[in-house]
Amino acid sequence: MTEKVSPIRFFDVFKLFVVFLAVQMGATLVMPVAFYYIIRPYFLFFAIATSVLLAYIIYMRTQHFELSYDDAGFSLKRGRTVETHRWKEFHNVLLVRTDGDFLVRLQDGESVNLPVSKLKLDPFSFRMKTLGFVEWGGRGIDRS
Amino acid sequence: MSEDVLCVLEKELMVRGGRWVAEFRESERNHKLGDLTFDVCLRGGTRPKGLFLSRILSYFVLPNYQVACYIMKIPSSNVISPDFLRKRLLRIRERAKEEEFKWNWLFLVTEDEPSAKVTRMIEEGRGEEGILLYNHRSKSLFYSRNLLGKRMKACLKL
Repeated sequence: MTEKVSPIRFFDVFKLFVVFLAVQMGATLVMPVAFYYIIRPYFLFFAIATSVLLAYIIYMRTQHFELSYDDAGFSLKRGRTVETHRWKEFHNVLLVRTDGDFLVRLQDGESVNLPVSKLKLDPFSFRMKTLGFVEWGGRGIDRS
Repeated sequence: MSEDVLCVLEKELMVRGGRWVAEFRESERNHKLGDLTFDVCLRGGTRPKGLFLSRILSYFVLPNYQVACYIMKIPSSNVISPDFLRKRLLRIRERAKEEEFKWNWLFLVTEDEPSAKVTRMIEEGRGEEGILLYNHRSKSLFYSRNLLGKRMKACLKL
């Protein structure tokens, strides 16, 4: 059975929201005064609404992770790019910590990182699960 | 013995108290070292990364050593003998030389209470490597009385 993990990282959406809001606030400084007086009553509402919308769209297109896996392989989607692999392509599983974030690194010549912290999975238990999949795959048993 | 003991040790070393000793950044299960297989091998360094100021501080203050910790489950502490330790420490030293690991630990995990002889053997380990023996059942930790053994003991809360 395929399991799917794709949590929305609200703090990352919030960070983008702050950036877009700051840009729109900054834009008022270079805006023609006459135009600013026209939009002033609605500006804050407009700026917040567009910042939320833009932040969500940009986050979903560039930063959002979605992991689908079963005992045959997995598919990792980051924004619009999708990477699909089978567990038997790898023979080594490492748990790696980078600046507070955990990754499960799958190695066999090339290496693929599964961002477990960003997917809000428990890194230690997910690594054990991955190790099990890779060991099964390495024995050439296709259980799909 | 369940897998949980190894997970607990990994967490302790990578996330909790172990970070006061070294920054373990990588953990590998069933790590082969010559003809020996260690259940867990943790690798890292002594220079932690952080935000701007801590990064600058660690760059100027802390040494940049590469470190490794090898964890091995043993069925009983009775298997520990001078030859048993010597063989493992020799492999660890060889790997340390190849990959320039300055600090190394050998962490043995057992479920039975070690005899006085075994405890003395661990505590008298005065080589460069830190040797620790953890009794998972009684939660007692025996350690070599060298710098690395004492430092690790002081930082771990098992």
